[in-house]
Amino acid sequence: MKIKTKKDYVESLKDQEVVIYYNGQRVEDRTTHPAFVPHINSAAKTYELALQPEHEDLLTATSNITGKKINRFTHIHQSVDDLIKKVQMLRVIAHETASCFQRCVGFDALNALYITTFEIDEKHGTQYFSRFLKYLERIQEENFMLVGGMTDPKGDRSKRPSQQADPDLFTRVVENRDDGVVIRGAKAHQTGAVNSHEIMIMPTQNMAEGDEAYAIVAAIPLSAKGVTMIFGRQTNEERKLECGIDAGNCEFGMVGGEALVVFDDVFVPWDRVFMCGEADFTGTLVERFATLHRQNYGGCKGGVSDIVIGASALAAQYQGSLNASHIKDKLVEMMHLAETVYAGSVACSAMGSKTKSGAYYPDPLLANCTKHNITRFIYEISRLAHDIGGGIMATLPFDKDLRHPEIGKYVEKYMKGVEGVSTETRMKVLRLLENMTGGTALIESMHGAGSPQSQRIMYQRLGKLGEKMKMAEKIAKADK
Amino acid sequence: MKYCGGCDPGFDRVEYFNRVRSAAGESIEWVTLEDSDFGAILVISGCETACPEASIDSSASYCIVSVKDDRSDPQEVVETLLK
Repeated sequence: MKIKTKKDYVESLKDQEVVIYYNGQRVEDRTTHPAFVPHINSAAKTYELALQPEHEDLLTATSNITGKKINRFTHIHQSVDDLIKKVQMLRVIAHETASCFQRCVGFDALNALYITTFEIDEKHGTQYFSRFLKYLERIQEENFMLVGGMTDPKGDRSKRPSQQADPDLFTRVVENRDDGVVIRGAKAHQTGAVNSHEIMIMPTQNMAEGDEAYAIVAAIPLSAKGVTMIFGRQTNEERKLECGIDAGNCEFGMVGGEALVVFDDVFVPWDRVFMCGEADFTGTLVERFATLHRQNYGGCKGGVSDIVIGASALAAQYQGSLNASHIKDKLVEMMHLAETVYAGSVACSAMGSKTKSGAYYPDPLLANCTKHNITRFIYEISRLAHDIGGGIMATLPFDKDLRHPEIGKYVEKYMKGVEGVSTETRMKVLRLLENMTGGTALIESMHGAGSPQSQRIMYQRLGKLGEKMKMAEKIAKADK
Repeated sequence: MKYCGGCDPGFDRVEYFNRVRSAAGESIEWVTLEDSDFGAILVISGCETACPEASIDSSASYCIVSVKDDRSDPQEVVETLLK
């Protein structure tokens, strides 16, 4: 692994010349921009923990290609144990960052492509799998951070890609050349894009006949000519720029740090293309990626929820209500919900199976169920955190008010809780809770890895309703 | 010395190991499993599942001491390893 430490990671980002805009301005150095540093710190944990003996069991793996020790985020799952370790790893990193650390998306793209390129070659006689293996070996060797670029802007959702008034609203091939393809379009909500090395673009949905130009998978360095990233706003994100108490968790990001990634006629050589026109495999690839990504959520959100629960308990302790029976009951409910989502991720991993490529794949129905629970349970955990934390979370004075020479004494006096805990300490915990349970953090739980409707569709496809009806008929001795 | 990955540990494994190392003083030279030249293995796991145990050959001749909580006396752990 060439990139081992946080320092290596940051320097490798500096080495790439990228085009990023933040709030209408071109960013000169992405590694020092105050809006990006918290996201870099979060992603850096995926490198740092791999070097720590107490976490290397989860953060590292042995490459099935080279036999070398690699970062697990570049590994192809070789067993059910690997699937479970992935979920355990996500929980432990979330304990360190209390936020998204972004690197799972590229990890899931690699695994989905390993499985799917094998199957494309099997049917069409193409050479995508061997090409992909060479690419993967390089990613493992470099220990690059990869964006999993699936979501297209999609424009008018009632129309197919080729029917859109603007055909670029779905990412597509605009030119086929002897040496490669030219890509135009955009990928939206790209987690970790501004602090990654490459993006793996994939089709956003199942493509039908006539949409072959949109059936494109390609690995693109974010420094490629024609790539522009526009960073998205987050709730209260300017508080991070102040680096004070008000940010709640100013060292790490709120969610992933999402960007719109635009491809304005970007050339990609053939050795970086892993699907080009095989529309019959687009649905399969989307389902594989979605399943692998939905598998994650009980791990990372379970870990993040552990911090929310801990902060809620601290907030109650600082105001003298921790021993109240209704507070204990709410904390118990929050733990129940956190462990339930974690159980979902472990379950879909434990029920995983071997694919034709040799890579292991989680149970898709259980993975969908896990993510579907996230769209509800994280809101409920946050609702309980707000209940315990109290209205003070929404009306707390500014950090600068606490430090003000004239009015600071009033904030100090009237925001005080129990004896022995400073007002500043109490404010820090309340701001952490606010940061983790409001705005962008909740919306990410709803729509990250697909909106709830996309999970409900999977129940219809995979829920075996016909078999359930047959079982009921048999028990009821119902005549047809 | 081998830690589990620490997905949701019930105690501070690093702090506990430091207590064991302190109790051992100069009597034990600590290496990792990758070093492959050792006489005993101390496995420190954050819960009862003890994931690393599954990948350690239990039929081998070396002694395996598995710690899954911080209730064990570090001195006793050292004595068991030295036996």
